[in-house]
Amino acid sequence: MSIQIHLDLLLAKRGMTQKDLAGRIGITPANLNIFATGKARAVRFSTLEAICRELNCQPGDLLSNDD
Amino acid sequence: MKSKTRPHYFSGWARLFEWLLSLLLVIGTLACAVYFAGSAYLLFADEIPGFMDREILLEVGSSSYTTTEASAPMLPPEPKLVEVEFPIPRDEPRLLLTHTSTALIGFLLGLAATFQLLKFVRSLRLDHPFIPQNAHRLRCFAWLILFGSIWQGVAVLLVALVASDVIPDINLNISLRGEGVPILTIFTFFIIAEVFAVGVKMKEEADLTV
Repeated sequence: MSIQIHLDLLLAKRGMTQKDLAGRIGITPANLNIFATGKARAVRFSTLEAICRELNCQPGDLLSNDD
Repeated sequence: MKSKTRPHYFSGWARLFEWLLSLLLVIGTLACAVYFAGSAYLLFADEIPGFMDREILLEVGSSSYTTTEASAPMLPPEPKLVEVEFPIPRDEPRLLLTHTSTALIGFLLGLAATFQLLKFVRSLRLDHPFIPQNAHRLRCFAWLILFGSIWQGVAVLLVALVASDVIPDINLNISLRGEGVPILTIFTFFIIAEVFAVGVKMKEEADLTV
C-alpha cells in the first residue's frame, strides 16, 4: 500500500502510547492498531478528527503517499 | 464472540434444531449401514430370503423429477401403484447393484448436506453469523441439495434402465422432468448463500474501518 501511516512516530514524539490515545479518542486499542499498521480499509472522518485533535496535528502529518 | 443483537430465544431454538440434525445424522448413518449390510448379504448369499425373492413393487406415475410409464401384458391399462411379481433371474445382481450404488450416492449427498446444515446452525449459535466459513457452508449446502435432486431423477432412470433389461416382460418408459417448486427452492438456497457471502464482505469492511 502506498499510503503510509505515521501514527507511531507522532505518538513517540508526544510520549504517548496507542493505548493512551485509543482511550482518549474512544476507540479500542485493537482498532487503533489496525490503523497504525496500515491494515485499515477505511478511516472515519470523526476518528481522523479525534486523532488530530489529541495529537495536535494535521491529517497530512498522519498520512503520506509514498508513490 | 456471541452476538448481542440475537434474540434470547434464538439459542434455545438453535440448540433444539442442532440436536434434531445430529439425531438425523446418527439415524441416517445407522440406516445407511444396515441397508448396505443387507444389500451385501443379498449379493453374496446363496439364498435370497423368501419375501424378497421375486417380488417387485412397481410405482407408476409422476414423482418430483421423473415420469414413469409401464406396459406389460399382466398390467392393467392405466396402473398407478402396482405390486406384481416379475421373474428376476437369481444370477442377475445388476438390479440390486445399481439400486444399492445409486442409493449410496444419494445417502452420502443427504448426509453431507445435513452435516453442512448442522455446522451452520452450530456456528449461528456460537459465533458471529457473518463469517467466511458460513458463506462456504451455505454454498456447499445449496450445491449438495442441487446434486441430490438431480441424482434422485438420474437414479430412477438408471434403475429403470437396468430393470427393463433384467425383466424383459415389462416395458418401462421413464423421463426426467423439472418441477417449478423444487427448482425454485434450490435457487433460493443459492441466493441466500450469495447474500451471506456479500454480508461477510460487508462485515470485513466494517471490521477494518476505524
